[in-house]
Amino acid sequence: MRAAVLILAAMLVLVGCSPKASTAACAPGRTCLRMGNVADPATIDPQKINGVEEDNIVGSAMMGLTTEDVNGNVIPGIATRWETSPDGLIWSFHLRDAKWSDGFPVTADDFVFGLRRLLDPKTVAEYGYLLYFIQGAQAVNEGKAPLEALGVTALDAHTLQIKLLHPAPYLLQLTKHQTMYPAPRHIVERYGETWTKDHYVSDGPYVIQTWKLGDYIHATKNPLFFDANNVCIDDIYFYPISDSISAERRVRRGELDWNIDIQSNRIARLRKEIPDYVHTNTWLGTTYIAFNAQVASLKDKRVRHALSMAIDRDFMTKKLLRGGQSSAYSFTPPGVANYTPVQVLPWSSWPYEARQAEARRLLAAAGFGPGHPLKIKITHRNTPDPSLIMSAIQSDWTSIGVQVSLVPEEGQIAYQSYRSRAFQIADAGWIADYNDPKSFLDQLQSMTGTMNYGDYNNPAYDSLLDQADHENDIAKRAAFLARAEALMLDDAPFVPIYFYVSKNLLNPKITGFGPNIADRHRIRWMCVKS
Amino acid sequence: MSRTAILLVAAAPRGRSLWDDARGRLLANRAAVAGLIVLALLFLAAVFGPALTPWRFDAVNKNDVWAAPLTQGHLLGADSLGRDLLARTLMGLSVSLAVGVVATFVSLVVGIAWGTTAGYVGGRVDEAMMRIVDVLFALPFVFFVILLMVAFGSSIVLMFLAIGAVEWLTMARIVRGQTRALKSREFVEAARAAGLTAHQIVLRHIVPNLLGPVVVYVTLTIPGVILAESFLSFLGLGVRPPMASLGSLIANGAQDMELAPWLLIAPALIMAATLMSFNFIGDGLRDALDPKDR
Repeated sequence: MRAAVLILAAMLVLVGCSPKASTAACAPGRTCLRMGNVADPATIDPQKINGVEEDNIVGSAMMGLTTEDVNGNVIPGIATRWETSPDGLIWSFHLRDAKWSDGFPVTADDFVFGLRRLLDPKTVAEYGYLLYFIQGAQAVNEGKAPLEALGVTALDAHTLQIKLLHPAPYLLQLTKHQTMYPAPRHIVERYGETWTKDHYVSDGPYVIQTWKLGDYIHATKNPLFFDANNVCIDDIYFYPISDSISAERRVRRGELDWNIDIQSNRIARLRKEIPDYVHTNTWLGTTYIAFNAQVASLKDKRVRHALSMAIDRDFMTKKLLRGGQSSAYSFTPPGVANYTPVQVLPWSSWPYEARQAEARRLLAAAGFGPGHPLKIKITHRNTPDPSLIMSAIQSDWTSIGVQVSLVPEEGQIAYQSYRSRAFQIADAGWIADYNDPKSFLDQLQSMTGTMNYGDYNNPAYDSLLDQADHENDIAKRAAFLARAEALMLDDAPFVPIYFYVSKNLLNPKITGFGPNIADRHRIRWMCVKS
Repeated sequence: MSRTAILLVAAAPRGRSLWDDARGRLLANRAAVAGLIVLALLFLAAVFGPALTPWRFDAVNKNDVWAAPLTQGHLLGADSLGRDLLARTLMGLSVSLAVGVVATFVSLVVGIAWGTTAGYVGGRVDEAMMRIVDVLFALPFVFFVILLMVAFGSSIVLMFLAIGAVEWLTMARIVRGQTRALKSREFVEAARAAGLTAHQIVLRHIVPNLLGPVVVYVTLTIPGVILAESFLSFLGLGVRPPMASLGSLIANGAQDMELAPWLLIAPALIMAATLMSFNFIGDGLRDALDPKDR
């Protein structure tokens, strides 16, 4: 999942001009949760979302075949049980008697409809590539086959069958992911693509009631949800507060119960002052910079390596951020399941001065020097952590003779320019959609499309990932993936900077918040201590 | 007869012009003199300071992140990237002063040209020109600047132009009013009778007589421009990092004020001193140049 908007700034102007000091009042007798959610979603259409802030909202309303418990583990969702064929290629899910929030039954057909909708090229969902392991998915997504060619079938109203191209041990993590949420066929077919506007229905714990753009999104408990009796919080208000510092001040004043981000260099102080509010945890995510494959000066691998080795990552993680992040020399973070990230960049252990000297040598070899300096532009998200990091990178690169200018953009705008390749160097973050190295490495496949910002295209890499897909032995599979990652790191289309930590600021009166490596916290488990 | 007259003139003590009187009154105004001295010091600091500080304003010092004032060789401390705050404040001061002076100069030139033309020509031309000013006045400043930034990209030159383009409007109104009043005075009639062209009359006779109110307004425009620039930088529309202006330094300082209050205090004090000096000087000039007002 894209780290969209992981922090400040979005509508800095709006925040600056009209600080919205008030939060909605909680009606007497109801239990409310007011949550700082970083940004307004681009959409709340389950098949079209891709950012963390969107998943927080839509994931409270929608529920897939499986879902997550308080610690992020897979548990039954709409499906109560499932079985798989001995070769791991055919999965059958058995659905419970669930209802949409308008009373219509949730059927296997709604899941088929949702998946076809996601992969329909007309929907222009960016996340289609995540499901290419399902039979026919890639052909459908590329418009080469009809929607019916997708290997997902409703055997009856309560049984869904999914046929895979190769065994996918991570399937149960994806069935709880937004890409596999059902779509309410009776609503979408009736109201068309704008159904989310006035006719939103959901099959999960909450119903989205109102969306006041730039103000808040209000969701209430869904009385038809199958486990509604155990849902404690009645009302959720999602506030799109991009400025993590003002969010922090509002949490401290009690105007917000929870904010999903803390500016890294303030964590140490908050730990001292309000230790029971601060929750940081390992998070499967990597921040990186991508090189645009179209920029002539960046086509030279030596230039990309020079730029990468000149970045003083330890300074950033140990002195600038100090939030528990660690320097990254691989794209997959440590702690990922079924895999140990490779360490293949030989210079990663060199002293920094030696790396600078080598970087200067590589740049000179590529034809850049004092008389003809390399000039580049970094487009970055204007939120605090990226702004700080990019200023440090600017200084690091200036010291090896590169002329760097920074173009700060609001998060959504920045990602838009990455997708349209309107950048030279992009600052971005990647958060795992499921706990497996493939969730990272797939992004760099040539068939991934727009999310492969650096347009990395190496047939050897693609084929190694394909071999890994068809390998059932975990160790052998990991070996293929490691070879692929080593190849990619040597080609350096992406340069990893540091591994994320999740940073939540939570009022201690909120219970049911479980630390987990995916940083998914479903509100159905939470409650307010009186 | 004529001979004695010439002798008399030659022997007369040098007369006191209105400007001499004004200077005397200005120098008697303690607040204005203090403002002049502080401002002179600030200008000197802005011009020579950045070259004299031991640190460069954009140098990231990896061991000095959040260094407090008077530690590790940083007189005013260092910011979240270990950049020396003194060097950054001086750089910010010179950027802010430069923006103030340049944008005010733009507004001065445009405003005088526009105002004198409208006022002197009069009639329909005046009507049309002043309606244009009214329309431009109605544009919300921030949106105008945002539009400019979006259309042409963000740069410091554009910021000069954008602020100047807005600030000349008041100047044009003041100048036009004065021009209309001066136009019917006897010395202008005499000049016209002597056969001077409109161009010559405006430049030789009207503009010099406008200077009093214009000078006063200029000294009050400069702090207004500095504030406008700070406001834009505070919103993230002003200077680009690693460049600094007083406004962007205050914006960053306000973010980190719990962690490192010095990052807010130093640039805010410098900014306050600058604005107060300009305002005292402006007040003093107004009193000095317009004795009727006292």
